[in-house]
Amino acid sequence: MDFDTFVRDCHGNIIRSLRLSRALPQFCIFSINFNYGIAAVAILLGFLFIQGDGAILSGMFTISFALVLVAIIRNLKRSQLLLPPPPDRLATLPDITDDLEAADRQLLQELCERAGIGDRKLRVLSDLNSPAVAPSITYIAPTFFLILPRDFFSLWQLQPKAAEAMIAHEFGHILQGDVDLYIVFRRYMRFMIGLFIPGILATSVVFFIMGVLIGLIVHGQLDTFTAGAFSYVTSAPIEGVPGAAILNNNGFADYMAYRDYAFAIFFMLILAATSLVLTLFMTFGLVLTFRILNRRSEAVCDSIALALTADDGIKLALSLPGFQHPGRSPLFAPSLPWRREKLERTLSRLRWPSSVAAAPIFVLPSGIHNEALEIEPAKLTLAESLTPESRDILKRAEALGYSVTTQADGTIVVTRDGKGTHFLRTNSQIKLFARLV
Amino acid sequence: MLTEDEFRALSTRIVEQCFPEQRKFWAVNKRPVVDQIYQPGAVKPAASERSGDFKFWGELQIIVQGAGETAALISSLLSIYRVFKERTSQQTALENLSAALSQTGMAADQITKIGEIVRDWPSSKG
Repeated sequence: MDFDTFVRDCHGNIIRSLRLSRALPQFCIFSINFNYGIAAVAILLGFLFIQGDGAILSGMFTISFALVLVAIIRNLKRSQLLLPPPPDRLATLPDITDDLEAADRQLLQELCERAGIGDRKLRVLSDLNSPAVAPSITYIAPTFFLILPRDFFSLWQLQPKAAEAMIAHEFGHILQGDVDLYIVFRRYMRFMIGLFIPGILATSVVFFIMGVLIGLIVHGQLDTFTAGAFSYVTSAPIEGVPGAAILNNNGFADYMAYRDYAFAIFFMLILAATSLVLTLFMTFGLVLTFRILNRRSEAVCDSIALALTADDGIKLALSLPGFQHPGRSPLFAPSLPWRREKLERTLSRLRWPSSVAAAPIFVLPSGIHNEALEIEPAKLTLAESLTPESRDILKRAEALGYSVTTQADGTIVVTRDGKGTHFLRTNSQIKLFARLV
Repeated sequence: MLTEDEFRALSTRIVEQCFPEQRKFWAVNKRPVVDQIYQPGAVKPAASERSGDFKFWGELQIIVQGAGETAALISSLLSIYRVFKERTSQQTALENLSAALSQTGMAADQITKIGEIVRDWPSSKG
């Protein structure tokens, strides 16, 4: 394979990756909506079954529904799905773009141009706390942020080719739209862990407890509703076979007619469980997809580094253990030996022309990176201006050691190590914050 | 007490003579490191994409918990800063510095070299 063919292959891979990086976010959004739909049907059906039995039942279910909502909202807040993302690392890292030596700045510019992203902004940040050697990259429209960890600089000085290849590898991630993929994946997992699964569990638990209470209050005894929803197992009319009634000719209508509350609750639990299983199944599918995409992406990025630097510095980089980001899950990140093997295979097929350094490399269509970012929660704005009282609270917070910053959308972010982060958008939220701290 | 500029110059000399492999690190990170030492918790990124000032990075002290030569360099600079800040006699200060550096696992000859540079400062300038 000659070098031009190799570059064309790389370009083809990039285009394919970009398609995936658009498809996956859409799949995630569909999954989330689908599961929400099932949960909503479960709750709605529950209301339909129970409706019409007087104020007590209505009141009970209103309370239970409110409890579920409270549980969900609490999780929603905790998982920060409705809030802007926490002040990410970027805001805490010093910008060293202008401190770079002229030759290094030029090198970065050349790599960007070869990658076809020379017209976009690139800022270089220094992360002195990171134990990693390998750099990382992220994108917040319209700027790329290349993050260089503390020990990368020694490598850059001692093994410049390997260091440059690592940077080129990171540009590969930008070319492939991987940043969008990571954002979506992280957001989805946070949603699942922080909101959906606890939400489903909370629904189940609340309905279970309400089943017991209804039995006590409405019927004055526990026999019908003993153990809440599970009473259906023992009170099912057909030989104690759980759920069998629904299978006979008039089962569903019978239960509607008899207003079998236990069945209603049982039915809701079945729906909730189905939703949970589907959710877990889809999450597993997503994790598997992400693993495949991530492994493939790392290998393609190594090839892109080869193409962009037009030398085999990436081979040297892959021989350094530091190229593996510490803490990155082996479930997703391919091992260095695996990547070396892939690269060796590419190198063994590659014929280098003498004029390779001048080769024009990738030219990407513009606007490719914005799509997935659009699915971020709509940013809220500070609808009102700060009152003197709010200003005073923020000043006091600063005096107490809190860091107070303002995001581009007007959200005030108040944070302190060990005390968490608060996103404040209204004066009343600022007052609430004052009470909390 | 050293001024920021003096400290920067002394640090650069130490990097050149004792940590030659950290030249690139120092060239790029000199500003944030010195800023952080002199204004802990209030370093301002040079050209941030976000508005406002940031207090960031926690305590520089965290960094010295890391392994490697870069961490040793930062640790040395912090120790030197403290020595000059404490205003003890030169002999005590150098002993303190030596004790602090030896805790970082640095080689004895390197500690000696750093001690000599600090002892001779500012006469060794230029």
